[in-house]
Amino acid sequence: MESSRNKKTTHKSKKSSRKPLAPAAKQRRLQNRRVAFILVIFLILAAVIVGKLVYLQIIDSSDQYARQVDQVVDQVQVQASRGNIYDRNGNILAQDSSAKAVYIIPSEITDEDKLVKELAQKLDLKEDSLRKKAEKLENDYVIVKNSISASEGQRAHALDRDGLKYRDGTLYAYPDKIDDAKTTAKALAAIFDNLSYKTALGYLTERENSAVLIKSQVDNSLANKILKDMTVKKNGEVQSTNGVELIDDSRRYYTNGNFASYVLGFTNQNYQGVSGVESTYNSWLSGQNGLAYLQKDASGNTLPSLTKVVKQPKKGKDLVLTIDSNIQIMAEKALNESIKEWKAKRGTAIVMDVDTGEILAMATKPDYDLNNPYTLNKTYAKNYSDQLDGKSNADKLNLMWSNPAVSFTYEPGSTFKPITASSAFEEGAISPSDKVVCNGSINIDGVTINCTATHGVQTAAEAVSNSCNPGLVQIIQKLDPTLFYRYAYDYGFGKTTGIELPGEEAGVMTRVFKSGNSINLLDYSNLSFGQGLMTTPIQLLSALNSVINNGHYMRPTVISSQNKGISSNASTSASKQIISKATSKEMRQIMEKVVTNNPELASLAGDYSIGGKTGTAQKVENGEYSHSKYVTSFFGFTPVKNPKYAVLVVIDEAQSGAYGAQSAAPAAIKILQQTSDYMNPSSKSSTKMTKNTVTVPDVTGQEVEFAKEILKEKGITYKVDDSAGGSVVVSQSLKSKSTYKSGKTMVLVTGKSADDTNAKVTVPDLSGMNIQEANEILTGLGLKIKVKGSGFAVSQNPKAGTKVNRNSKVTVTFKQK
Amino acid sequence: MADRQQHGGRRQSGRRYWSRPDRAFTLALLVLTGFGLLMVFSASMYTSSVSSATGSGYAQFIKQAVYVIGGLFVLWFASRIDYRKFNNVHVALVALVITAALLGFVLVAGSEVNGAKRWLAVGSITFQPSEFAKLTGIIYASSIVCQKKEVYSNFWKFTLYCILPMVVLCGLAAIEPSLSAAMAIGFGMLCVYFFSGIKFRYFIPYILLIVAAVGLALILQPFRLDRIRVFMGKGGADYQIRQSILAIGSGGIFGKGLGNGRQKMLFLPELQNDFIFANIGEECGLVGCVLLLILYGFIIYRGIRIAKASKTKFGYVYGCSIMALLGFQVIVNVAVATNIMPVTGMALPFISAGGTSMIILFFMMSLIVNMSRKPGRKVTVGEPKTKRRKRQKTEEKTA
Repeated sequence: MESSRNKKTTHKSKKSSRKPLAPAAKQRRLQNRRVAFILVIFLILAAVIVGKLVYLQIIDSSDQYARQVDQVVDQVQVQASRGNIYDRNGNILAQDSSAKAVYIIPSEITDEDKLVKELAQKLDLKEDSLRKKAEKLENDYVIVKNSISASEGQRAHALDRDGLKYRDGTLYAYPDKIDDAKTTAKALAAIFDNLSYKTALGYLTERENSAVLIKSQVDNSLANKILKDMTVKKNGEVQSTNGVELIDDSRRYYTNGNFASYVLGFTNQNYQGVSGVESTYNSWLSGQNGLAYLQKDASGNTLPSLTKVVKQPKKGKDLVLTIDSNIQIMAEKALNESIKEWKAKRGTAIVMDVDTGEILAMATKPDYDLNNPYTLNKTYAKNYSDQLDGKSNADKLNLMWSNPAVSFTYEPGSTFKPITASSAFEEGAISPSDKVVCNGSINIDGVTINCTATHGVQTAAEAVSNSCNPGLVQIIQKLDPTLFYRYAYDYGFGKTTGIELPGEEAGVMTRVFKSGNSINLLDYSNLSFGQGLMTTPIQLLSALNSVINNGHYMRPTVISSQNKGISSNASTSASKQIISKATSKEMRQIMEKVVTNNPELASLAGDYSIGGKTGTAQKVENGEYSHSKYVTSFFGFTPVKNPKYAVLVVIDEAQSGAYGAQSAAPAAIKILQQTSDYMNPSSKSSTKMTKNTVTVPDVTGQEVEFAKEILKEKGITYKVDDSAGGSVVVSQSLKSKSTYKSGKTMVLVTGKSADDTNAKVTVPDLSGMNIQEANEILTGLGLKIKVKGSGFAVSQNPKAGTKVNRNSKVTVTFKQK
Repeated sequence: MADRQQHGGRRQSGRRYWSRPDRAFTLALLVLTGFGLLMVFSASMYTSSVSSATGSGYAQFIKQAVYVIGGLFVLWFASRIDYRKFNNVHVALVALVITAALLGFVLVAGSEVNGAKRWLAVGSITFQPSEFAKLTGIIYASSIVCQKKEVYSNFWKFTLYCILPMVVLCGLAAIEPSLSAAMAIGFGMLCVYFFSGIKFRYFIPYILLIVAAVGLALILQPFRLDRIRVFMGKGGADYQIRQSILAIGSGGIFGKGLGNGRQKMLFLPELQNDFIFANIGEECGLVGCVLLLILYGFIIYRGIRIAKASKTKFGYVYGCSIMALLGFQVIVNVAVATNIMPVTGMALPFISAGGTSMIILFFMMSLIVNMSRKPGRKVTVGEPKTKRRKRQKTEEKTA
């Protein structure tokens, strides 16, 4: 319509052009109309555009917005920090700490050899796997060529259907899907004139440009060292990092790496507990992960400034253990010594609070480094090479991580005897004072069971303390098997204790009835001295603990009652009484005799009130008893009258010929002594048999004032007799190194020291003193101390009794006990 | 306004001077340029900051700011050249020959970017002859229709003086290939011929020819056909278009606010160039888009008014054609960004990043600004009345 009108006007203007006045005006009108025509078209188009904008930005807006969010926003979890793990005294055993995750960006690597070498060395990784990651090809598209025809595109696509794609005039390559880059590149160069083989090959072998994880949870210092080593600087500006990128990460840090490894356990790369309480209380410790929205650009880089945390992570709850770090250290140290001395494969020690069942220490050596749990402990690998050979690394690690205190099953041997005896005594099947006879062996159904000695006629109680097998056989044969089993099950044999640690074994305690209802007497008799059943250290300790704990069975626990609202083994059921208080007392006395009657054990125990029971059992190998491999063990408790602490030490494969009394007992007794000293520093007396007293010091030769101080400190009452004048003690009424009985008064006689005149002093005997004590004594005499080592004085130079000048030096060598 | 003119006059008394230009027109241009600079900054800051070559988020912005300042200088300077000087056959022919030579030269010596030779590099300065051709094409056409009266009455003269040069320029641009530039050059020159009052029937054969040429281009360069297929809803959606729609759509009514766009994060490559409208849509929303279109509309309206007021045929056809070209580029650019039209690389005038286009645009405008200025000599304080009367008269006429 518009154009026809234009035509008309054109005709008009043509006609009127001959007239002089009209044409200019007509021409202008025509021009105006034509301009208006264009403007009208523009307005129509503008209206269309506005219409489209209204559609896009109002009607379709939420749709487009959602699609954009889809491509821009990533929803990620924000790792919640894990709760700390404390020991019973509030010492931190495990906590979160910051770390770095090491990434590489393959496309930014400038010196691959250098990078691979560095990472392999610093992060303990294999070179070939690193090389593989460094050479990773781009899995996203790479534009090879623009503005090509569809036929060219199809020809290129035909070269590699997965690796080359044609779309909208552009040829894209997916380098990681290209089968044969060289051949394909040659063919591409042939198709496109202005594409060289080299350029094409470059596109087809382009490396990944997003970060590839190499290792997470790397120590900050190590990660930064790697970055520094790889950074190339020029004029102070970073030129390249050789593809290395560090990203903040966090890791679990264990205060002492090789410490209570089996109780604590560790977490995997996903921050989930793998073993120990880290595993059993994983959800308690884990907390709740937060949620964050990350924004990323088209290349997948996240934009930190646009990260929104929509849900803050909630830190996990702290966990307090019943473990006492000091006792744990003592136990681990004692075990190490025993293993070393007896060339054993492994040792396990558990210390229990008798009244509560709380585990104060649970140690196994060799253990593994919690801060580096994926490294096989060399000692462990060596000791157990017979079992580990031919296994995969993962299997080896799994074996290393399993906690022998709860998962090692073995025949308890003689340590089981108190169980047999207490059951029989409690039932009145036999009285402790009843007589049994040992002729060095006993015959049951034609099988001879030997004894370690010929004990002759003895009481049942003596049979237990003598660890006499025939005696125990006679005891169990007096007891109705049904009752025996009831006791055995009550004591917890054949089922797990439920301790809050993973991998616990139930052991084996099966009824040895023949067909019908008659008993297999031989098997039944064997049980009496701990053969024919399997137990775990924690199971046996819990059972024996109830024998000495006035019959109360306490479920073992490593979770302190300080944790509010936690469910633990201790909280889930009440204790039960298995034997009477009287029987328990009887058993304690029997077990005290085990120690006192054995000169070796008695000397180990010293003046501590310790009861216990040794055990040595042959290991079962391929269904038969081994003649060279033994599991030796010792159960001990202190003090006998009112037991506070019980310990079980189990040594796996101590040197051939070693008995429980030799290999396991020293460690157990040492642990008991140190534990009671540590728990009751003020009154050692309560655990010692005779000593509720102190040793009298030698104060002769000391200045009176100094002597007074020493005596005050020791709690010795004294009287000073200075009738003779002088300021130096010349004699003391109580003999030095004797035992001071409370209530006695020590008289100090002063006088002028002979040394005052010749200026000589006598060097005192310092042996057994700690550094502070020795220093005080020497200073009091006007001598100087030179300290060597630490612990308690073992030797000195000059020797005691030597006369030396005042102010001269005494070198004292100290050693840990 | 008159007072200020006197003021200027007194300072430059005795010399030739130019009165102040049309305030609304220049103000609108400045607002548009400022907004464009802002949007280039917003659109390019992410790309610039992640690019290892530039390293700073300001790199593209600073470059663009330099172009704008250059453009303003061109405007200041060229608006003092009497536009009538361009109404000259010799000037027109020289411009035409130089332009054609440059377009030919770029095909030989131009640097190739994304498979197209559009750039001439002189030292570190790069230059797009096809942008230049948009200006010289219109100047040439405007001179011809004013100077060669034969073209109105003789179809063959029309073909020789008007159509042939146009075909040469468009053809050279199309070979680069820059179809959008060819379209703009052709559109601008056709507007001149159309507005000058040349008989409509003279155009008919050439309209058919253009249709044929476009058809030929589609056959020779099949990727263009793909674009049309994409546009028609066949084939996979074009990535750029999908991202552009996403940007505009997610902006909603009021937009996300300056700098808050997400599509600039490498989703829309070269966002500061042809797809800058997508960023405007995302950050300024429907309100911003419509206001921008109104601003363009105002500039076009005001420009045409100035052209009409110039009372010269050259001024009229030149001004109207420049404004039509401006409108054409805006419409094509926005129509592409909103998926109304298949993809062509048309820049959004005064907003898209680009040096040549910015300088050329300012030069185009400076002639129109010059039209709005009144020349005079030796104006003294005693003469304001005549000046005011003259001005009033002009306004009556245009109104």
